[in-house]
Amino acid sequence: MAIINQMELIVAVSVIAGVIGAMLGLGGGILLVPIFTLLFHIPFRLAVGASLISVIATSSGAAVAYVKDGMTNLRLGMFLEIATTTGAVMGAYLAGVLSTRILYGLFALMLAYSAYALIQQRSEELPDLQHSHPLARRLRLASYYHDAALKRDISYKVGNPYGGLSLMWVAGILSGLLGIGSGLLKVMALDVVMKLPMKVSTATSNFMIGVTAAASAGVYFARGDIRPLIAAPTALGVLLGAVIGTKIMERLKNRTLRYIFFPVLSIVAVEMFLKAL
Amino acid sequence: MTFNRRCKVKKTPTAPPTGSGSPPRYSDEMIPLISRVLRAGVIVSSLVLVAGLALFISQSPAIPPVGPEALTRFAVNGVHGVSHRNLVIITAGLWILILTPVARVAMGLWGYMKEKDRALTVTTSYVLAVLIASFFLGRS
Repeated sequence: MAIINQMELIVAVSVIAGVIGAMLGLGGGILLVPIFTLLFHIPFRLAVGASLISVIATSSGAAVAYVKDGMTNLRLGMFLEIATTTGAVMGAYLAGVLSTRILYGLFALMLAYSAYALIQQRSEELPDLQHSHPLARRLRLASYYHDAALKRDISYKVGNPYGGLSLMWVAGILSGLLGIGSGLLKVMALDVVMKLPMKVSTATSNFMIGVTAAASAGVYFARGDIRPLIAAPTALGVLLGAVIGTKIMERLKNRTLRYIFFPVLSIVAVEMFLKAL
Repeated sequence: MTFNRRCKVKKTPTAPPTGSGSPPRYSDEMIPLISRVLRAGVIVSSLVLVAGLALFISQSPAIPPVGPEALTRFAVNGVHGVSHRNLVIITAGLWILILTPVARVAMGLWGYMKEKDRALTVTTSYVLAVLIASFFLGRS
């Protein structure tokens, strides 16, 4: 019954990727694709197809909690999804045309950036934006949320929608090319470019990741790059792992963990880069 | 109608902080509904996937004992063109998962149309159109 062993291996690896992904605040995708391609010798595009499915699963699962908390800015999310879905379809299409070496190279760059972002200090300070951009005002994108730590409602404005759209478009392309959620870039677009509070940025980014990945997954599915026996155990494993990881995170500081995984991600980035040569 | 279940969202503040001048939330009504649909999509698809995999393994065709890449031989339309009934169940589970965010966008569109919010209706329609088009774009 070799098929069970092979599937057990995929489930086991996906659970671990899900746990680590949730604990580091990275999606499972950035870990899954290297494991599948480097260790299991699964072709790059099939690994990306499976990863996209797991990205949808974790995003939808996590969004339930965030949306209920009122952290997610639904209007802003729906508006910016114009850019992420357009980019995602373009990226997914390009993935079918570009050589795998280029894809490995891009993935290595993305991994290196994720490793760097791991050890960066994230500022939790509230942004100080006086006025919303005229377009943001017209679309009524400004909103508020209840900050449990500060014990008060926080109103915020929304700046630079065009800059936000541009970066979201890039995030969409990378998601479609590499099968990752591109959460880091999405948070950066919301937090740094559009000046939203960190908590709103994280929740809204997660909310958008599912729709972005669904747009890419459509193209991968139609192309036959989503193989059920790989994608199904991956999705179930990552989902289970994410639930466990979130539970562990509730009673653990993740600073040490981040420093432990910085060298791991760096080494994997080098391995992926070598495949590009 | 489901939109009338507003009383259930007690945790979510329904009025903006006083004196801040921030606009009210127009999509508040959809929050509990969207949250429920996302949860249902994840749970239902997981159950279908588990059932499909269990059935497939119990009637597993012989695969040579090599690495996991052997599993890639099973495409949606079966091994070497021979379709396998249980692959169809697994594929259905994957589709439920993919369609969950699409359903969320469709619900958003319905809400914005009801509110006669033209800008967000146009935005959301575009996103839904891209999602639907994506299922045809990979075929060429």
